[in-house]
Amino acid sequence: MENELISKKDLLELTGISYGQLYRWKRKMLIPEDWFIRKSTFTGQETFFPKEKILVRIDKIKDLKEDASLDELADILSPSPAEVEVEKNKLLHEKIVSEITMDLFAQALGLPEVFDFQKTLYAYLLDKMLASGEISGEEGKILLKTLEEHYPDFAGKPSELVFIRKLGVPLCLLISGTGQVSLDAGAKLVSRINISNVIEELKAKLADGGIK
Amino acid sequence: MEQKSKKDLRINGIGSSAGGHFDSVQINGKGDINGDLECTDLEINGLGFVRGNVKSNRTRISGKSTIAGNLAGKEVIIDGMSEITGGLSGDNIENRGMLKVSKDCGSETFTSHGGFTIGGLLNAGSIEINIYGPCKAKEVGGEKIQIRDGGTFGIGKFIGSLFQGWPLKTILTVDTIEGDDIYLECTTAKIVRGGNVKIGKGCQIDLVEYKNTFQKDGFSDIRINETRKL
Repeated sequence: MENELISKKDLLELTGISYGQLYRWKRKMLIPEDWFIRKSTFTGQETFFPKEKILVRIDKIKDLKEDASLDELADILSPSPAEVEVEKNKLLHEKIVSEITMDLFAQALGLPEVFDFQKTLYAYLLDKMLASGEISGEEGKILLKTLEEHYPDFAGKPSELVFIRKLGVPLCLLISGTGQVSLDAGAKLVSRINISNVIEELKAKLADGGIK
Repeated sequence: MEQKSKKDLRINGIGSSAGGHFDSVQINGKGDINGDLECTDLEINGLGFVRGNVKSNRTRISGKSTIAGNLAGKEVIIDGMSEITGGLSGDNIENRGMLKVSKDCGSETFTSHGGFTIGGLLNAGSIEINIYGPCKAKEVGGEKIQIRDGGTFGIGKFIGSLFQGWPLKTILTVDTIEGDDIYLECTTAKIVRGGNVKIGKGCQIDLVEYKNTFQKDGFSDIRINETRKL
């Protein structure tokens, strides 16, 4: 179940971290404030977490903290865009974006010499979706244009990218937050991507490639 | 053209400002700042009122101040009285007066030699509290938590013998305390959870949960309803 909760006590037991660590990570904003869910129990108020999300996050922090300081980690994990400028060749070389994606990007939005973080993100999103075979090249252009036009309004906030197809007609949506999406029977939900997660992924990749 | 350097703001006497970016901000007297404030140094030596968020590297409040917003900084020293209606965050927070924070308070180190009220979570790597006045927080969490009785001043004891209800109840009241190393004195809490827990004089605790060690001093005024090893 997606919305299963885990209590703080069980979480610490399961992951083997201490209260101090958990509070430190919270202070450094490695764990988002809205994951701390307060509920009344018979012992008074207790804190719960969304189980799946917090377990993934703690694994990630444990993984990364060997080679990055907590402040760097906070940068990687925060949903706000990083301040990055990457050259086109570097993106290709580090295999963050493929040739084909780059061509599409050039056709849809023109090809800049230097990619800022948002452009990198658009290209990376497209690359992901193309690689999974969910969308075609033409649809990719729609995606890029939607992102270029509307994503700046969402930057820094949690948002989702939803791609729908009905009778072969593609439709691209950007949704703020993580709400529920319902479709009519004829429509097919092609892909639904949590952009915050992708940003984390991308930041980690950029950091690996020595770009940041 | 790039600005050469940021200006200083100084209010001596009575004055007001709309806020903005400054290098050093000093209020001696009575000053109102009606907006967000960003500066390197903030010193309030009289009466200060900020209607907005404050971001300052070094903050020192020696008089009385009200901040209707958040206060974020590295070094925060409160020698007088300060009320913050938002949250307080910094690297080092030192309270030697009366501090009131309506939301969460977070820092690497938090030291208090006075009284405070924190409406949310007090979260710090190292928390050292010497109780000299009423201390209150909803939750306390961190790595190392040390809470000690500051003792009553001689004059306070004398007045206490004349009037009832004085001195003010010098205890820490809190719902939950969670940390790795905890030492408590004069603390009333519902739940205390931690790795190593040591309970000293004057504690009233409903439930203690510990992982490694638990110790209790032999004072008769300690009341612990339940102790559990996890």
